[in-house]
Amino acid sequence: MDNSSILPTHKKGKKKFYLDRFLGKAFLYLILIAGALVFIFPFFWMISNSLMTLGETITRQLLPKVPQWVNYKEAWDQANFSKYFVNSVLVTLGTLAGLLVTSILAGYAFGRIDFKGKNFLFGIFLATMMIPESVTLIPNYMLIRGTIIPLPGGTWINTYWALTIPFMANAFSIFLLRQFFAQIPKELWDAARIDGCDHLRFLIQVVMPISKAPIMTVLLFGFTASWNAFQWPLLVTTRDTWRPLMVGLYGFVQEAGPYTHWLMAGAVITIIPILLVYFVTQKQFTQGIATTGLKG
Amino acid sequence: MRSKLFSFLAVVMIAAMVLGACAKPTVAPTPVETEVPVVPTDAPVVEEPTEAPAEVDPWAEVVPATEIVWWHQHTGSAREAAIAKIVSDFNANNEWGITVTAEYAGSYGDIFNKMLPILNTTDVPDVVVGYQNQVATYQLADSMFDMNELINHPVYGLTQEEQDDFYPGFFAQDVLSLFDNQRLGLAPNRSMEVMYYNMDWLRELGFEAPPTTPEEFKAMACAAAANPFSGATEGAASPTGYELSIDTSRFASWTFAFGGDMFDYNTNQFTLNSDAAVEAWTFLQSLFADGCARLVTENYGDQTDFGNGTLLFAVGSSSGLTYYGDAVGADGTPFDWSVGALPHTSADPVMNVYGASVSIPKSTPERELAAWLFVRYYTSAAVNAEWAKASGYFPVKASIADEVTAEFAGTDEAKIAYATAISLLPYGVFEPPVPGYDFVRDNVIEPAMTAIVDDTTVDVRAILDEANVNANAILAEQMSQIK
Repeated sequence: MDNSSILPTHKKGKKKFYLDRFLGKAFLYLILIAGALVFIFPFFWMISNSLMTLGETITRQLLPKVPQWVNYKEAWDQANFSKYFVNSVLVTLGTLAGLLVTSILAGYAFGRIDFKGKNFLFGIFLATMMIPESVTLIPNYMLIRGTIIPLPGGTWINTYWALTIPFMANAFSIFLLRQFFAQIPKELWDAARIDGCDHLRFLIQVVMPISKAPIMTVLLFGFTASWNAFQWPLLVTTRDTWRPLMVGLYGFVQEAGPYTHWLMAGAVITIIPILLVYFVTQKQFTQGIATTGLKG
Repeated sequence: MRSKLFSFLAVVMIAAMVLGACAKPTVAPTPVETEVPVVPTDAPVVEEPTEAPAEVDPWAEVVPATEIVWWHQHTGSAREAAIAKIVSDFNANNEWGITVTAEYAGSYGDIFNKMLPILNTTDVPDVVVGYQNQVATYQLADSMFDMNELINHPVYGLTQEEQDDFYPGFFAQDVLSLFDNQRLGLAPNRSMEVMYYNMDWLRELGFEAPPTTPEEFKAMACAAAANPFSGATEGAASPTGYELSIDTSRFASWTFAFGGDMFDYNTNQFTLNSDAAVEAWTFLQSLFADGCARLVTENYGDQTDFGNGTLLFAVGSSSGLTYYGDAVGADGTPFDWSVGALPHTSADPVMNVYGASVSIPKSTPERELAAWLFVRYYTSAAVNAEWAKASGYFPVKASIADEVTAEFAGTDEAKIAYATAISLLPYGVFEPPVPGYDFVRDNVIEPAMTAIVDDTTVDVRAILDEANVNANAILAEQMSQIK
């Protein structure tokens, strides 16, 4: 067979193949870079504005002429961050502790235990996810005030309990853990039963160690929600005893406009803990999303 | 916050409270005569001082409560420090041993939301900040204390001199005609809608002074749209004469400037379709039709464009003076600017003043009296001067205007602008202090404003006629909830 006519064509095809692959990759990277820019720009804008003067933020400059590092100190002092930061940490820790306990127990019950009306009850749990928060705001407020049912201490307004207890149970977290727990092989439970395990011991010694990823996911979601909570803390606190960071940030918004430079400096300060938690839990978080059926 | 859903919730909750409210000890109102209107419009009548009936003084035996709570919305170190000082001074020096606890309770909207479920309960704060229309909504449940009971009291009331020291428009603003001229608040501070203008640009265009009539305003605005300002920031928006933000306070300001009002306080009905309103909005529509004005497309976008030198005129709250002052020259090329009255068709300017007042929810006579005594202190001239200087708001007492002006904190231009604005305070009138006004603002007036300037061929009167019908329907629906 005379290859003389084939070789050039083959070379040409190979060249075209590499060119196509290069162009495909270039196109892909172009889209990824564009996407990354879209996601990065708000962060860039936040940091840039946090270093501007008020006038520069109002006139929408892209970069500060002279970085105003003092904005961070001003923001910290003006919004009483030293106090609110501690409050936010305590409220978030308390909420997370409660959230993990209720979500793990309920998720296990829904995922691993057969009982009468389980699916109906789970359906009701899921239905609560569909109710907008604004609808439940005032009824929840009345509950916390002790108007509907008597509460220990009369009212929980301005207390730690008002900020933590309502968020210690969450339908989404229960759903997420239930999805994972339901996938655990039945053989593990059978083996544990032979070794004399009851449900609680099986949960603690077998299920939880292999469920780090979804539990970390619940933890990250819970942390973010609690740390960023704004409307509820604003509603149930009238004194600064338990007021969290986000409410402090709100103080930079006035009737005639926001003090954007301080607001953004405060925002940078407040997202640092979230970023730290995310970096620590990133691996488990990604794994959790992939293994609980949440990935689209 | 102002959604229809919330509107519905608010009405339902108030209705529930009205039905469920327990009887509480209240003091019989002191009969007072209503005589002399002291405002430049047909606004609610203000009570003249009368002598308390000698034989019955319901407050004679009342001992003020010693612990009261004040909910406010003030933030920022300067304001918070001022409030702390005012409260601390009062607590240390008042002769009744009253201790006030000032609590930041969120924004105006947050406070409104918090108040609704607790009206007519013992959980209400003793003093609360609120706009007049919010307080009017509370009063649908008969939940607010009528300050007329104490304002003229021989021991606890204000002297005639003290009452006269208030700017008339400010003093009258909390007297609600819809509720038999009850006084449901007292003003501690106010802001005003003013016209901001770029004087350097006006000079470049060949004008030596800001406009005083609509015709002058239009000529200048159209000239600016065609001739960019030499000091404009590079790459900023294209030049324009005026930017209108879709905000009911702008509707009010322009209607007032054309000699109209939004509400008839004799019939207690909205008058959004008055001849003056139609004239004002036909004028604004013509600005848009001729390319001399455009809409503000983002929050405070007019501050941005004004600061960048691409907007000749802006109309907004005087509480924005600091923001405008900082925006001008942020790029290193400051220009001469100031504020003035909106161009008007009347002989004198008519200025839209607004601001929240301090009100007293009904509780017990002891708490109400203690709350009143604090309100009296907080609005007294010396304290008011202290508060105005720290907050940047306008004082409510004429006697301290000079002192406050002299100490206004801001750039030189901002100081001059503040002094100019303060000289306009005697011309203040106000937006309707009626329940449901928030819903009228959001759901009726602002859509009407948008319709008028979006399509410059639409019939202004037809749109305002329809808006007026809808506004009065909302008002009627609100008033049907009254206790």
